[in-house]
Amino acid sequence: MSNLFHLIYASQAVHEFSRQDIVELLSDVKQKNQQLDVHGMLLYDKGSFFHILEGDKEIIHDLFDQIVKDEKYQKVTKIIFEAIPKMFFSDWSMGYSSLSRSELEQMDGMNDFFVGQTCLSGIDQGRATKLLRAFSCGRWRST
Amino acid sequence: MFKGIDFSHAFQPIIDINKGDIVSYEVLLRGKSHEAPWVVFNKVEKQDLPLFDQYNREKAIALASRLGLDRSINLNFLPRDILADEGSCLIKTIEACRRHGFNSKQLTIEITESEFVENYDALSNILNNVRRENIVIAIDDFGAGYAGLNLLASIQPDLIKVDMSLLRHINENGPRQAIVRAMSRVCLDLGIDVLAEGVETEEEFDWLRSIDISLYQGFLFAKPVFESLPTVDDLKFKIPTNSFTSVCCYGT
Ligand SMILES: Cc1cc2nc3c(=O)[nH]c(=O)nc-3n(C[C@H](O)[C@H](O)[C@H](O)COP(=O)(O)O)c2cc1C
Repeated sequence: MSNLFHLIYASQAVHEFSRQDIVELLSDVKQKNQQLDVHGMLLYDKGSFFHILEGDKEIIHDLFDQIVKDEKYQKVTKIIFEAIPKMFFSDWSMGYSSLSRSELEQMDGMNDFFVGQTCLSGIDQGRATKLLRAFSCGRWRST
Repeated sequence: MFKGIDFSHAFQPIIDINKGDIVSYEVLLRGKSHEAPWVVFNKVEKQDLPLFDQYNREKAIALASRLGLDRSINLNFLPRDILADEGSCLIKTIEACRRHGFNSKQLTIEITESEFVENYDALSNILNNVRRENIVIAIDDFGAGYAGLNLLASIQPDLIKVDMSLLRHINENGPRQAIVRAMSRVCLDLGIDVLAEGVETEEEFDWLRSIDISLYQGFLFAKPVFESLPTVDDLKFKIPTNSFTSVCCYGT
């Protein structure tokens, strides 16, 4: 893919999402994103989402338009939309994390992001990682 | 075309205290007898300056390669250099890096906003296009002159270098502390690294470290060194190892 971009946004959930709600949302989202060759990761913590989308520039742009317009679930704040050198989450059609540490550690590839600085310094220090860290430190929350 | 102009370069280390190591070197123009940059620039016809700048950068890359550079290299660009000819100077610089065996990841471009930029959109488009080459984009002298919030909002760099005028005696200056603390919060929110430039005293360093700034450049650690890449052992100030506490909190 030549025009690889990522878009990262944070949002405030309109209602509290249960684990079941998220699982349902994800199975829906995953399928759509697979068709579009869009990858990424979604985090949810106490009423706030943090979503990284990677893929073709135009496709991501249009997808984000849809997500913003769909006000049933969330109020969206765009953080960044920029070109990236490579896919960071290519193995995932849409990962999910609830930010619980023990759960994170069970998820393949997830724990790297959160288990302290020694691990963090070993992986790509791209923008997605830095923003994930900011979110995990309580930034971009609705309250 | 610039054969008559004798010049070379000095290298000033950039230190990451989280890694306890030198991560990059900023390249600075010098005369052959170590003269300041303006002495060299004065010998260049005004209309030739953009061409000279590019020649200067490519020569610096060649020198860094001869010196065995195995870290990153920081090179300076003016917005008008980048805006001219759709950013061709960036592409040429990236190509020069590759020719000398460097990975584009090792290249940091520092953009100084020394004059008013009229077309932020054009600048941001060009930069977004070279982003895929995996270079690091930095705003230099942040907080001095024109380099400010507009540039930050429109180009979303990977790194900002906080101007030394904001850091001078920061350990005892309330307004500067408030500004730099807020800047560093903004940068955390936007996924931007912060570098403290021109740090001269241990007191300034201690204060900056207390708000979790991890990248440093300044006389406290090392002055620019002519035609040489100083190593960690050459640093005047031993890099204190950072405690690994501040990075992450876990939600429940
Ligand atoms: C937190 C959250 C993340 C979402 N992420 C995506 C996504 O990555 N891809 C997608 O197609 N829809 C996503 N959606 C759903 C969109 O908001 C929207 O409902 C959907 O794209 C509409 O598609 P439809 O009109 O085909 O039903 C997300 C919704 C929420 C609440």
